[in-house]
Amino acid sequence: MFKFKVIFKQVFLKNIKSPAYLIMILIPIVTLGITLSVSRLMNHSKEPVRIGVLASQPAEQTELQQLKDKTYQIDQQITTQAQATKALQKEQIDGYLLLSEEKGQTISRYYQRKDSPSFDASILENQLNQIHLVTLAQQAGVAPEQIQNLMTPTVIAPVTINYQNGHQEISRENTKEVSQIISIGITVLMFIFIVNYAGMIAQEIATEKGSRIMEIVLSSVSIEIQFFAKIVAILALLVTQIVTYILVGIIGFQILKQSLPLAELLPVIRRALVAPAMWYAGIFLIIGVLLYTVLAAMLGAAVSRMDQVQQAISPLILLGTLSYLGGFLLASQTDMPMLRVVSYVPLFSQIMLPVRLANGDVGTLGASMGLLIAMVTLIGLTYLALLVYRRNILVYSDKGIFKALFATYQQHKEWHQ
Amino acid sequence: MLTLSHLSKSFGTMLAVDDVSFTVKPGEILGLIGQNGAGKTTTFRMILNFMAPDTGTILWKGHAITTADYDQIGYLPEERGLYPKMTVEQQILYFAQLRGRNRAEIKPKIDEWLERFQVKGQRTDKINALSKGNQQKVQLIATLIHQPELIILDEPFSGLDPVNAERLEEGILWLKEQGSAIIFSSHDMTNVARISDQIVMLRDGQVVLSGTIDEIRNQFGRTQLFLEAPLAPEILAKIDGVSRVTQHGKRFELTLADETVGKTVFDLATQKGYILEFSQQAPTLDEIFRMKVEEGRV
Repeated sequence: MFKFKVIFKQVFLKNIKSPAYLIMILIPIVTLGITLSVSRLMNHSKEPVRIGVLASQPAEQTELQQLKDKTYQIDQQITTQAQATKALQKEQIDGYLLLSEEKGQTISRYYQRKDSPSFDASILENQLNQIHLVTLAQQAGVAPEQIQNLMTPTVIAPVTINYQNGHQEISRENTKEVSQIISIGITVLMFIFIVNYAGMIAQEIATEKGSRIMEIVLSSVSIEIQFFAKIVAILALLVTQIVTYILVGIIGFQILKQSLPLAELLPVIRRALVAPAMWYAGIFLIIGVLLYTVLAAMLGAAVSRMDQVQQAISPLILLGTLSYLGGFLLASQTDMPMLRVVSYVPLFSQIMLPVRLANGDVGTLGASMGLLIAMVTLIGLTYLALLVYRRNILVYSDKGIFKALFATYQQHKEWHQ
Repeated sequence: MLTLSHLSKSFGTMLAVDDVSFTVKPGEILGLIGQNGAGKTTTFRMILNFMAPDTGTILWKGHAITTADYDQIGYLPEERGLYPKMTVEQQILYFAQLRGRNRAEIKPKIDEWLERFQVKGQRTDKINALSKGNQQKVQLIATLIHQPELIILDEPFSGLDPVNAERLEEGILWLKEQGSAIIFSSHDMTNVARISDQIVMLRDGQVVLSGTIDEIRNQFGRTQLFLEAPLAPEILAKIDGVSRVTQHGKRFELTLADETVGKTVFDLATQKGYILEFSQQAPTLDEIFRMKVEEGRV
């Protein structure tokens, strides 16, 4: 156990201090920071416009000044057109609405500067129409309760229905937004993790092998201890990255909640955290990265030189990319039978099944089955990887990686004959 | 004590090691010599459990070497390898920890070993900041600092200048005094002859020479003759039993078919009285090495 700790610590500390690891951690944070800054700029342009409202009758003026909406803000001090014109000129308001009577008709005009922020007047129009309707109804002697009924708007509430084993389940709340966030988050993060950590372990092993440090290490500890210490160290780096993001998320939320409308996101985040898809995605993330890491370790052991690493792990990166694309396809389109089958296949399932679970396309039973298949595959692949590792880690051949892997297969067959 | 008995290993159709046997006792140094590809590194790799022999056994203190014995081993591979971004101290401590030693146990010894090998650099210097020769010394220190009971050094002298080679010899002899069993391979017969208690020569995987230096040299008889006398080389070459005559200025080097021919040469050279030099010796290890390599080519 002492030597396991020594190797674990060495691999963990060496990588955590490396610029490549820091960049890997920082890139998603910087990307998120840029996204938030852009959205902040966009939100800034969506600030309510400052307007004045004017009517020929004082009662009408008072009624107009009671109007409210998030798209505009009424300056209560402006009551005359002279005041409004002056305020508009001094940029104290962005525009003003003037209601006047012309030939028995109420005419509405909205005055604004050329450089005033764009203002969608349709909401204000609807509100004016409602006031007009209420006035007409009152004049026609309609009872107040009926006027109330008349004014109640019709709201369409979206309801999401999941079909599970032929039965339909209606979600209690609309989770589409949450599903989308989880699906895209899973797909992107999983791909980044897989590509980076698979590359990291393959590089780690190939460097030691190429520089002959491996011979000294393996004359000191068993191959199994060295292999698993490296894998566990890579897993610890992954956990460190996730924990860093959680901490940055909490701290960032506390700092930015004053300046950004993050409160609106809180219910979404809360719902995401309790959603089963999130927890399954977490477990799939660990199993998925381990599957790719173990395979990358095996390929890293088969190379003779450092420069062969990228070539060796390219099939793995291709698999990761395919599962990434599958995840994106499933995030928008769930009715592709082939993708449904592929989503259960290990090396693809870690992205595709959590996406399907988030979309409600598959239940927790299906996700559990996929998880079980991935775990069994992980055990099998670890055994195979250790076999290849043992056979190839001290063999230097120019015959190529796949010939080295084939030689392992041949040797294994001979032993069992 | 390390005992190799009838060890064989083949790769496909190539027999890399063929029926090799030898023993190294505590406090003894064995020099393993042979051309490139003779089977030296394969033998080391089998001792270190990197590969299993096809036949034969390797016993350390009477039992097969297991991971439990790794802490008693010090191994220097033929191609050196260190972590370039580690400091000298970190590197030495890491390898010592892999040999089951505590940092606290090794840390105080580092300066003493750096001094012993005259490493030019501080313990806080990064490995990649050191010269190649000093990196090699750090690698040697990392191999030996935990004072292993079994030391395997694959070409330890390669790349070292004569001064540093002498320091390494001193280091190896010091560990011998401490009771370590040491095996090393080398192409430099001078180093081998100077520090080895016994020598094993491999050719095409087979043992072609084995024993102490004196035993090996005496197997060949005193067939090298160094002579300084007023004789013409043609006369020397005509003597029955003289197979080769080489002249170095006034001095001759004769290779004899049999050591008894020396008496005939002596009588002829001293016919006119006093001569400056007559020295009849067994061939040097270097010459024996060349002879054995030549034999293999025939």
